[in-house]
Amino acid sequence: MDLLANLALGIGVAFTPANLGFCLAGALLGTLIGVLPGLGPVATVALLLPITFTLPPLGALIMLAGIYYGAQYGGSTSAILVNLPGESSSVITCLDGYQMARQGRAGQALAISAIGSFFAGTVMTLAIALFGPLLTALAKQFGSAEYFALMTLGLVATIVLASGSVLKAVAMIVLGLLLGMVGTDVNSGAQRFTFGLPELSDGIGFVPLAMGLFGLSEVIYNLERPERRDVLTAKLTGLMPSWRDLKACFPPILRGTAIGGVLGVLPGGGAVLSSFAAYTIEKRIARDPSRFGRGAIEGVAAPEAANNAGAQASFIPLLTLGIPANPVMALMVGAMMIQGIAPGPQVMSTQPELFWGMIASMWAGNLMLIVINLPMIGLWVRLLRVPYRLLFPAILTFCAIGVYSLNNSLFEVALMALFGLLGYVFLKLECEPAPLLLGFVLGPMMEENLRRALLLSRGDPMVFAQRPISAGLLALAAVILVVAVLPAIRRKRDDVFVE
Amino acid sequence: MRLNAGQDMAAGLIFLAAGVAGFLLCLDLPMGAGARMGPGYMPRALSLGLAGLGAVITARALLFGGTPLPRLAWRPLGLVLASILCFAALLKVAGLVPTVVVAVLVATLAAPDRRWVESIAFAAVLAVFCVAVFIHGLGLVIPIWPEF
Repeated sequence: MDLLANLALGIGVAFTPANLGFCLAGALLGTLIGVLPGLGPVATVALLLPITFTLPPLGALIMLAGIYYGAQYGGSTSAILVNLPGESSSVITCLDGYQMARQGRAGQALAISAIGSFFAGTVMTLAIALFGPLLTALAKQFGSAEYFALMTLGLVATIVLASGSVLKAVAMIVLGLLLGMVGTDVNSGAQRFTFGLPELSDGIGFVPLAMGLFGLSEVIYNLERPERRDVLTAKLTGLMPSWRDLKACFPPILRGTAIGGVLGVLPGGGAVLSSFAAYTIEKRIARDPSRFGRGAIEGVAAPEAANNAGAQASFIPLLTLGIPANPVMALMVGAMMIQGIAPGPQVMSTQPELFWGMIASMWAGNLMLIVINLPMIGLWVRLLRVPYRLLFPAILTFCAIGVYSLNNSLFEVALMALFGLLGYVFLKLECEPAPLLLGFVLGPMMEENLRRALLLSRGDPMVFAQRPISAGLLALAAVILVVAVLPAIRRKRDDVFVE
Repeated sequence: MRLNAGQDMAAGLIFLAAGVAGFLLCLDLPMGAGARMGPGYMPRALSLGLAGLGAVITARALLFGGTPLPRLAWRPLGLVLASILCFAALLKVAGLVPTVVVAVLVATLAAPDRRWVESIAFAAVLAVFCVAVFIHGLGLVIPIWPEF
């Protein structure tokens, strides 16, 4: 059995004391930052990215994956305990989770969310191990035209995910692509948009851009709204859900996992869409839908399973194709490149320990979340009571030191401030920054693949239509774009985001 | 002109300006032909696309109206950016400890419920923490105190 041999290899690599330590540290730190209100997984991963740079490549990726799950779980914790979604994917968890907490069942809500996440994580780890090699084999037949088409599809898909105006989302993607062009052109050595600044000849730094857009702008945005936090003061009584709760939750967890697994693979999909879809479905098929929104445990179990499954499934396109499906994965691409790994199908054959080690560590990470988080809830609650007036100056300081530590460059610290300003303005204008980040990461790759595809076809753009896989992907992208613009679907999409 | 269209109009104008600026900035980069894309090919195409999208967004806002321009919270915006820029300006001259303290205190000005005694104590604790973690722990080469 290849699968077993591969998993064994992965477990062998991932379960060394050092790597387990990185995984634990990642999950802990991720939860620690993710639990803080107003810091979602993207901001958390961006914030903690610099501390992984000194680690060996596998350790760094394991830690980052741990940070991602931890941040997601931390977001759910603050959603349940404070009714403050730390991130968009736990908005849904607030609905029933906080109600459960008010009824004194916060422990059960947190436990079921951990159990659901762990179950989904286990299933998805196996799914990645099963389907990863298949997709990689497929990806090996990909030429430049297919890669270009696939990235186009990925960018188009982010439009569907972005809330608000489709036109603005497209413009944000194009702006991101354009920002990705800054620096030295790899083929000709020409300087593009560098204004003669040597600091820009390697392009705009990924970390200052991401931290500015997602971290700083969030801090400013949070500061302008009066703070409203009602941390639960009631004692947490009992953690373990009853047998009846577990039985009621098992089918929703299964469904949530399936939904998250499917939606998460789609470029642009991932955790947010998955949890919304899972909740909607549970509510629709429930015998008594009126219970939802009033503390139904299924309303916590299904979306939590779904968002973890979605989060993990979004690693599939990254690990097999080298294409980030969402902003967090875009950060992972950035991290891999800094470690000198070019993400793509070749990773699995040239560095099997890296690929399988990371997959095995995902399972370990999920297990650790259960083990560390449930006993540590008391600590998280106390952390939630730290007032924002102390929290945000600390966040700013860590952002600045983190960015500086990358290249010992104060220019990049100032650049982060600039992107913070930009991010805040875009937030105010309801232009989502996620499509911009994805465009920024994919821009150089797309240009390279477009250039190569056109070189091989001697400048004939029909090459994209003549190759079946590329034509199919582009057609799919066109359909998605048309559908996103259609008024009827638009209204539905808005409903989902408003709900 | 409808004033209540401010939000989309501002967004559209930003995109339009960025597109036009991008186009002008890459005029001297060689275009190349389809089979051999030059370094100016993609930037020019993207700039034109961005300017076009910006124009459409602006026009739609003018025609159909929309959300009025939101108020920017100048105080937190300015102070948060000032805190980061203070950090950038001071670090090499003043060293980590004074830089962290100044950055924290500047940022604290943005908190509506600030308490100075608490924040000054917190800034000191944070500075010590940063020295321990980033300089002793992670081995960053940053001066701790200013050199005289």
